[in-house]
Amino acid sequence: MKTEYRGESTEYRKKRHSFGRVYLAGIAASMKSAAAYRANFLLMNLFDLVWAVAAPLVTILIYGSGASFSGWTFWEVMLMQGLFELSSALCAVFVENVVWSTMNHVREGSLETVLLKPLPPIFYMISTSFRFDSFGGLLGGLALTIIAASNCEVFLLRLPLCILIFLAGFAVNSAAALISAAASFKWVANSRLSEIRMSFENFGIYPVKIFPSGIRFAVTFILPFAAMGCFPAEILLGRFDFINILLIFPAAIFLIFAIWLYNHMIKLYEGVGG
Amino acid sequence: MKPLKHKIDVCLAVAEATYKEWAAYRTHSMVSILVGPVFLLVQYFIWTAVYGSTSTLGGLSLEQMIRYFGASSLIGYITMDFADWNLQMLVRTGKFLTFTLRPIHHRFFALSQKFGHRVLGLLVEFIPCLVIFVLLFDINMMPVNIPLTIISIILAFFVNFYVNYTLGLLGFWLVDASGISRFVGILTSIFSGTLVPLTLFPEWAQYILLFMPMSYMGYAPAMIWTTGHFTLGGLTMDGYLAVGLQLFAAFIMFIVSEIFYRISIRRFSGVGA
Repeated sequence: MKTEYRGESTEYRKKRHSFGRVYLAGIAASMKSAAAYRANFLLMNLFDLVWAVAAPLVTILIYGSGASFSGWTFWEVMLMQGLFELSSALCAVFVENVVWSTMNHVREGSLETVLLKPLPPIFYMISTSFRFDSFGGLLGGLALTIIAASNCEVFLLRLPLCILIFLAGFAVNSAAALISAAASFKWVANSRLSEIRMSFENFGIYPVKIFPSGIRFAVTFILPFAAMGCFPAEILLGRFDFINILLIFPAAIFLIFAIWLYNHMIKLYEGVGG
Repeated sequence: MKPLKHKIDVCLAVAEATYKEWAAYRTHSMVSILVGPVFLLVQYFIWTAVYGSTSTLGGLSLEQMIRYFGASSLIGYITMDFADWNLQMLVRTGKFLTFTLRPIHHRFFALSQKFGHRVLGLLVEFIPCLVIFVLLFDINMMPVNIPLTIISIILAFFVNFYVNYTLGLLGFWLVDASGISRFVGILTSIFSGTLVPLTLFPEWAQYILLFMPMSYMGYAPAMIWTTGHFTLGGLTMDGYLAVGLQLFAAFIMFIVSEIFYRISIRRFSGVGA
């Protein structure tokens, strides 16, 4: 009895329900959806590409008018902001849509379609939230990072450490997105939840030294948003304070907390819409 | 006088209904009480760091720059608009049909909705954030010329609405216009001075922006609030002249939206796009 369910062997079920296959199926569905509305898909990507290029606009205009961030050249700041855009775009492609999916399901009272599936709901939501129409931001961030890096003196041997801290920054941003999604179980139909996360992201796009020590500590060791752009750039530029490597622990804890919170808040779902 | 009174009555009724509808989601708007101060706090540290190497940027001192960003945020709460999204949704779902049967122009209905929606914005976004900026951050948010600033914000409200409504009319032409709406939206946020005062742009770009409606949606009222005058493209104008330009921009956008409406409405099939 234990090895069979509705005539299927356990082995077959495992294969059928393997997480990897589900995730790939989610990506395939996203690709087909994007292909159905090609003009909109191209425009959305163009939008993200323009936004990735426009985001450092403030810095471009500041340096263009002769002012600067003390101790940072123009291309060093561009490197930092390129890495930030890359981190932000990765979150948009892989995780951010969970906020909108969850919010819509809660508002419409249709989350049962997710809860009835033999998968952890959070995994199912993430696997079906892949966004092809956010690839423009990814390309824009990557292009900006490569162009900026080619105009700076970077220490490529420190790339593994840079990737580690960059992933910590991605984890922090993803965790913040999951917390926004979790909040929508209680705070029904609030389409502005992401704005709260984005407002805190701003602490990761500029040199952390411009902030007072209290905020600096908070964005390094409590909610390490500085790991999204500032610290990876500092590593590549050889000016990273190695004590800050400890931020990987609060980043991991924040992500674990976000997953726990989402799974906890899902119990508040009532299925009546909002 | 009777038709005018009737219009005002309709406008007030729609505005009141919209206010009540959105008041049920007031926490939605109250997100600004957190987001607005965090945005201004970040701007404060950015510009304080930048001004370490210079005394003025784009003709603004550090104090004026901080006040500019405060004013820009606050004005955004009054002029905020999603007429484009709303109209596109109505056309896409076919719900616009109900408006073709009503004895009222949809644009007037949408404008009345905006009045109600933004009264809520005034109460739960503008006033709380103004109090935080003044009392908590100790920023001098007193406009240089209060009556002129109020008129300028009202005109920015109209320019913003007509631009967005015209954008919403694309819903009659495209199956899904959300992409182009987002694209134009981001261009608007850049060129309306939300990210940075337009005087920091290269002079040739400023000269082009002088003739674009975006400059009169956020930048003009923020500059009138902050300095009492309007500087763009190498020209420094008296606040009264700037308000005149805003009025002209509102009139032009009204005409553009009407012409585009008359062309677009012929494409409506009433069964969803």
